[in-house]
Amino acid sequence: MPPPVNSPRRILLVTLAWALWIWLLAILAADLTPWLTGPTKWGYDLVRRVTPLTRWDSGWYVSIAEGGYMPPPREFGMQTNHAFFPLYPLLMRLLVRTTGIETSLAGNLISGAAFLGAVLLFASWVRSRWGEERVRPALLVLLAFPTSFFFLAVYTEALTLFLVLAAVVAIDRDRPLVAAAAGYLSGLTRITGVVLGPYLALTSLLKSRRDGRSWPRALFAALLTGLPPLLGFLTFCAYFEARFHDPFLFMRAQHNWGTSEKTALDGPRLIAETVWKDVKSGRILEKSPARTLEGVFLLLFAGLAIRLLREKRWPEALWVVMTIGLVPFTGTLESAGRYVLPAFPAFAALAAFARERLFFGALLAAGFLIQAAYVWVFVNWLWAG
Amino acid sequence: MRRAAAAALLLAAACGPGRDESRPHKAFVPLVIQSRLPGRIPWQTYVEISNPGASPALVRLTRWPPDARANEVEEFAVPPGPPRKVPLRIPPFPTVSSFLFESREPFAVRAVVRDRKGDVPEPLEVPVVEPERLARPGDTLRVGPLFSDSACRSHFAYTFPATERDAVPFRVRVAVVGADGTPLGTFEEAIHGVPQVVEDPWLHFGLRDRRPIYVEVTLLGGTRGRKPVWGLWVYGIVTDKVTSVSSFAGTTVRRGG
Repeated sequence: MPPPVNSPRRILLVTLAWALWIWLLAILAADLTPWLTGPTKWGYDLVRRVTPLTRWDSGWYVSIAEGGYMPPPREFGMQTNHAFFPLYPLLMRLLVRTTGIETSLAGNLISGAAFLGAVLLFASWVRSRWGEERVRPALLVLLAFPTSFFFLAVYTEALTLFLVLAAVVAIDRDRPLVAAAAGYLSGLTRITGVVLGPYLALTSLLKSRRDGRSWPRALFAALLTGLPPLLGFLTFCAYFEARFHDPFLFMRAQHNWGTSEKTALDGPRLIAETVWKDVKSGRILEKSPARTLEGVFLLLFAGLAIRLLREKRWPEALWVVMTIGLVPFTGTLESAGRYVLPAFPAFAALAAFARERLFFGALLAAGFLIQAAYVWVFVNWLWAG
Repeated sequence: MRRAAAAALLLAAACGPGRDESRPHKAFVPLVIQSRLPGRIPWQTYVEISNPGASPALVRLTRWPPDARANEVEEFAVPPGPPRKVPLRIPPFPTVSSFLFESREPFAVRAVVRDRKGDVPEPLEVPVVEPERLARPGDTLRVGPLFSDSACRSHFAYTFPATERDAVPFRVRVAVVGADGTPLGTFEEAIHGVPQVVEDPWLHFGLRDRRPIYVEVTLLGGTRGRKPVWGLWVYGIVTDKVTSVSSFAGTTVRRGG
């Protein structure tokens, strides 16, 4: 008897087929168009040995996994690896030391495993909120989203998605310890963990009230659920304080990469200036289409957050808003399409278009096409994402 | 059983290059550079190979890193007679490369760093090292004395042959000691995929006092748990600030078992 349409096995098979397709594309992109390759500052050894889905910021994760955090930057403009959170490279290091495999391959394996876990949790989460019929389109939207290939790359997107979903599904299933552990670990994975607390707290609060708990008990449970991601983040800060005497070194390191000194608070202004410059110079489609598309992704997710609000899905809307709300503080739109990836409720909301079959099919086709192009230019060092 | 065999095969394939016992004659040139920095002396390593035998020797050269993947390994015949020049095919400084020569027949290698545009300052003879002398895990390489004062500046570099590309990153413990034996600090660092120069050891290790130092590098092992094929080498160079005349600081190996 064939397995049911959305059985875990089928979901895994579909995801694995997609992952194979992305890997095939990446390998072909690395081999077929050497003349297309853009410049990189990476050393010969790194370029020679890493996998095709290890580019740009992946190098920082490889450096932490292999050599730990560098000495702090002594002057502005000195690029160091402190902007990157420790859990993902730590897992890479563990895998490398236990198996001896190449470091970037270890990163890809961790990302791949985390993503496989994440899609199973995602399916379960979508099923519990929208019903069975939404699962398949939501999964397809997640896979077809142009920047989704980052889930397989040496980046933290897959691990973050897995941990956030693990925490929220654990709340749904009344497993507070699992939720706390996943939340804590997400705080050690990436800055998104900082804004995860309110989402988990609100999810817990609404669940407790639905289960008939009193307000004080529900609020207490929400507090306990919302704290671990912040504790994870504070653990990271405490480590930096103990080792480098600067708890916010990750922020200083990130802003050190810029061409001029800035803080997170300058971010929204810098983005507004860039957008205005692009509009004024007519570069929106001509010379900066990739950057424009990143802005479009951000607007799309903002629109989907509004849709979630209209459906009174408060925690989900909050999570999407807070995830995309971090983007302006980076000071650039360049990576917006990647930053939005952990905002998974937006994918489920976007899957509502599955009712319009033709439109939805076109949407998926466009997504896969842009994704293929993105993989090609990413692998060839032409677009950082 | 089949799974175990497949796993063993995969593991063997992943373990990378081993010692090439079929070519017993070997030479490791720890420093090969080609500097083209504007306003600076255009240093370049000139490498020569000669064959003392009576018949041509087939020599394999492995550059690490080369300027292009195709130039990583090159095999060429060295006829008996006068030395022949070995083409560099390496990236420009600040990348520093190393050469590993291997052959079934005896050969001799000489490497000299000199000003590409002339012979002033005087050339620097690079000590060619037998790969067996490279530091294995537990061994300590002592380099020095290194000076940083009004007359001299010094740098040192971690270097290794291409055979180590799958064993790196190496973890090393560096003990910095004063010329009088005073311990000045102990540090641990990772040596990544290609030879690395530490331009200013005092700044690198955060030493306030620019007194003469020795650097003692103990190879702890590879971060990926793989054994080095040959190992690690460290060289130090002291340069006169006025004349730019350079000399190698001594490197000694203490086997740690």
